[in-house]
Amino acid sequence: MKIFNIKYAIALIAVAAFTISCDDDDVTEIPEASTNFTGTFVQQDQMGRPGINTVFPTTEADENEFNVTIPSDGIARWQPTFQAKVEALYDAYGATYENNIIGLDLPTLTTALSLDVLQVAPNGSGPTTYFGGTSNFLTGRALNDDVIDVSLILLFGGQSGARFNGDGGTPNLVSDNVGLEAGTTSDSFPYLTAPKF
Amino acid sequence: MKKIALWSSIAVCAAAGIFIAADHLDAPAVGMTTSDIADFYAFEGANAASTTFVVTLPAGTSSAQFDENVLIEINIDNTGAADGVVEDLVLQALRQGDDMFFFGPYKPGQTGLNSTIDTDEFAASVKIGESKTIGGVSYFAGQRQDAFFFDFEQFNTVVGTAPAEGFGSTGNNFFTPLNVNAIVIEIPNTLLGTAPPHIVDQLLQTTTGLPAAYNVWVETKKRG
Repeated sequence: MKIFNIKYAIALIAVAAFTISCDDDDVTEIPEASTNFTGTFVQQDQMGRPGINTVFPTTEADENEFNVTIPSDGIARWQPTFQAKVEALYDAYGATYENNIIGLDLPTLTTALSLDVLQVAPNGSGPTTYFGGTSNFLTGRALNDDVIDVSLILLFGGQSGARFNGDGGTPNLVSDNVGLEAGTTSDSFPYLTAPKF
Repeated sequence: MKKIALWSSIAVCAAAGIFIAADHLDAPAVGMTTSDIADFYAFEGANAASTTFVVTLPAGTSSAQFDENVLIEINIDNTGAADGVVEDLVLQALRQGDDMFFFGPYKPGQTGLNSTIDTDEFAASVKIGESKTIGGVSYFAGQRQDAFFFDFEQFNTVVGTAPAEGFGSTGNNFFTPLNVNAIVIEIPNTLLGTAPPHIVDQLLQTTTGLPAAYNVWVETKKRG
């Protein structure tokens, strides 16, 4: 039902209220009459790709500002900050970034990440996924995508994707060792399962 | 009780000045408010001709509700880098009473940080907790389990103190069994326009062979 129809119905009810006595049946119409879609709504939070604002901005002021940066301003405003953050994380481990599994150097990777919008491909050849291999990535974000491991691999995995994987005395920086919790998702709409409190 | 563990952990993280998750608690101005976005997903669901959007907000208790003054707006750019990444279409959702009201997709009168609702673009209303399909579009709004998984605490340790083992060899999912307030919309791609060339190829001037893709993001906007 279009809104104008709702308004029309409300008007009819209002008219009816003057001409006939209301009974309890009219109570079902009250929620419609109490709707309010007016006013200007001002941005508070935003999200495109997972984990961006929680990982890359350095200060709380940056985190607040990031949430009110429109996407088209993202690269100019945030790429330098993001690159510095990654360099600092490497410094803490006495290492330096090397080009990652999809061949991106650090300025290029942080350019892509600072435009914080998610891509979803309507006609891709494979499943829509955050990363399904070097020939199918950034084509969506599915509920079961391990977006944290993907992000870690892109940042710390180097060309092989397995640099800093805990072997040979290296720290494990490419997996948090957790996966999708069984029973939280469904194959049919709405794809998330009933809450547990 | 998990909720107690959560708030305890949040307090510890707040004390440390560290906020981390997919987007949960990402910034102090919105953390622990009804505007805080937890997660955003976009994927091909059961219907290959449609795209499914999932937006979640934290729901610490069974009585946690969508805010009647917080608009949830899914933005869709279907023209790509040519005109900058700007919303060409919006899908809007606002709870009023026991129902979630959905609008669009439609071209907004203004882009950017401020939005209004064009009530002529009303598409459907759905009782909170229920699903409905109208005009080939499926809608849901209500509480669900949080499917996000992440060893939140060890990440904070890695970022904070750079331990020699990094994440080590075992992990604990911080987000089980948390719940969220979720909006799910499964919409035919024909209503979203033609997808532009993939932004990674456009932006980086590379030829990765990635398929054409919409650029999408979600915002919460509070009534002023």
